[in-house]
Amino acid sequence: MMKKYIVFTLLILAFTAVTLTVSAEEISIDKEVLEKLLQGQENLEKVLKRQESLEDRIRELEKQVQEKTSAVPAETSAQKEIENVKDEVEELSERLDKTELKTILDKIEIGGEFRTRLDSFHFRNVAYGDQEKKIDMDEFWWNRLRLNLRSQITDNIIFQGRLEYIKSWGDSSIGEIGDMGYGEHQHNINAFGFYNTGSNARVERAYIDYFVPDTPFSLTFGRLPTANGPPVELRNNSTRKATWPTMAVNENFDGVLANLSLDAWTRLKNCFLRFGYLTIEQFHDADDAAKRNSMRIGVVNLETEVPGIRNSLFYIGYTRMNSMLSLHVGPSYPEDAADVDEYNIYLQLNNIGNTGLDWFGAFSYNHIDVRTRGTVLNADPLYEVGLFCDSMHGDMGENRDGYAFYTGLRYKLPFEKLKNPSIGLEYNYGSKFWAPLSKTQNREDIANKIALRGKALEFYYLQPIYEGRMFCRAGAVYFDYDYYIPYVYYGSPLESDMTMFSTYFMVDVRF
Amino acid sequence: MIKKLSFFCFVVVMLVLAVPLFLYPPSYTADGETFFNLRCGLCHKSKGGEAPAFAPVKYASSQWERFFSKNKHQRKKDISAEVSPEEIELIKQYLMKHAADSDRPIAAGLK
Ligand code: HEC
Repeated sequence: MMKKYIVFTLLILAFTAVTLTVSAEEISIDKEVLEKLLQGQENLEKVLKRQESLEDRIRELEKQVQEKTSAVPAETSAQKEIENVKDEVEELSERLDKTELKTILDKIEIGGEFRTRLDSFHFRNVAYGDQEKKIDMDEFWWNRLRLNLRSQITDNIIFQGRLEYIKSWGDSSIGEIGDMGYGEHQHNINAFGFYNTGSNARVERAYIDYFVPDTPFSLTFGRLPTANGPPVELRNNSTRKATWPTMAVNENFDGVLANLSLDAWTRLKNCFLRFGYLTIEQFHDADDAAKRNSMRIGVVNLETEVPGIRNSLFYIGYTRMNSMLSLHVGPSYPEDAADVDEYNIYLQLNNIGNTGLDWFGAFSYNHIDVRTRGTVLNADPLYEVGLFCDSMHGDMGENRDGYAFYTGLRYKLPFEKLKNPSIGLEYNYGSKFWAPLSKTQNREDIANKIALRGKALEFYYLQPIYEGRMFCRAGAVYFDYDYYIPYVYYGSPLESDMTMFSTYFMVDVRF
Repeated sequence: MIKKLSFFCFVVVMLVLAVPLFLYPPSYTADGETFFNLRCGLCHKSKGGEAPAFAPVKYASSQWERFFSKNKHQRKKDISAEVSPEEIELIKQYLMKHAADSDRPIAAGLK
């Protein structure tokens, strides 16, 4: 038992000794740590000291900064301003996004022209049976509204259109002399007639220009810009508004045009070669429903700016009208009345030598290849009528040649205080067989001198009221008829002593 | 006879009316368009220029007015060495007259 205690005690002593030696070692480690700690303490003190000095410096700097900011407040206000501008830019860009979206969705530009016009007409020596009469229309008021549409669909596709409303004041009207049922493509015998749309607007033009990318080619198709071309813009104080000079073509046509710009290949400016295909009426044969005869027009022309003269125009063209319509009345009529060839040459020089003088001259020649058979009218004796011919005068089936010229000038007076008013003088002549593609219903003038077989002289005064926006024009026109034609284009032209004196006044506003 | 007389009259009228042409032989006058092509075209070219070519329809007339009155070009490039103030005035008038909101000429195939 004792042995057990001794062994146990020895074991305890041994354990204690071991633990003691271990702890003694531990203590010695602590000593090292302590030394280190003591060293660290020194370091810490140093750090603390540095911290203190740093804090002092910061305080000092803060003080300095405070002093500085109070001394120079511009710096913060500049920052503020930048912030404000940033805000503003952000807001602007937000608003711009909205406007941009609206602009992108705004696909069509609309412009307008409005005019009110007063005309007076005084006819003398009007053939009336065996007698000669005079007709006076002292006052004829009318309005014209045009809404011009344009859409730049892509870089290479443009749509343009025009809605037009022409109406006399009240319900009054001037008869459309020679209306034989061809609607707006009628030709008018006395170069006189009013196209009244009533309260409706009609489509005057609606077409697409397609520019073939990276080539000088373009195609124009639809209801083409073919009415009121040069020189009409001179008297309207505007820029050119149609493809062909009025003497060549001055009415609305549906068709297709191929345009080739020659600028890149020549040293000319605005130089175009054009080929046009137009139709007036398709499938007009009522004699035989199986027949499909159309009246077609082919045009080829070259135009260019005259080198050295800005916005000048030189035009030379050939027009072929195949199968001109025969008169669709009476017991029998032929398939068509004639073929017509027309040659046109036109020159317009604007602001010659910066003098304010504009000048234009046109010469046209037409050859009519008449059919030997005409429309038989229901009359006793039977009476046959063709284009520019009839059996009564015994001249069916002969060829006819006609020509016309038209020249004029406009001078911008150097009176700046009066906004540079212009005066214009124009003269034109059409021969017995002059057959223009110009209708009285060309919406500029009721008396359409271009279609006249005789002479016309016009003088006008143009007063700008607000440049480019509003002007008024007063003019006087004298018509001396050499011939009139009984039925639109049909029947032999008959000599005429008729004269007409007309005056007008108009106000035109563009927006 | 009448035909011949008319033709004769036509020729005479044409000749008389063409007199100004002889008095003022055609040559481009030093106008806004000339200076625009000459001066602005110096750098603004459709191919290989320092800046892209542009037409007057780039801006509306009021925008051109602002472009010049604020001398906005200065921000992109100083062109005072290339274009004189008198020329600038003419160019400005030309650009404003043919701006996007001006009375544009219309004919088939005109851009
Ligand atoms: C010396 C060369 C030079 C001349 C001359 C010059 N420009 Fe510029 N133009 C430039 C440069 C470069 C730019 C910047 C192009 C860019 O940002 O891509 C520029 C830009 C423009 C811009 C665009 C401005 C914008 O904010 O985007 C317009 C407009 C302009 N010029 C008009 C003109 C007009 C008008 C003239 C003649 C009076 C003219 N420039 C003459 C070099 C010229």
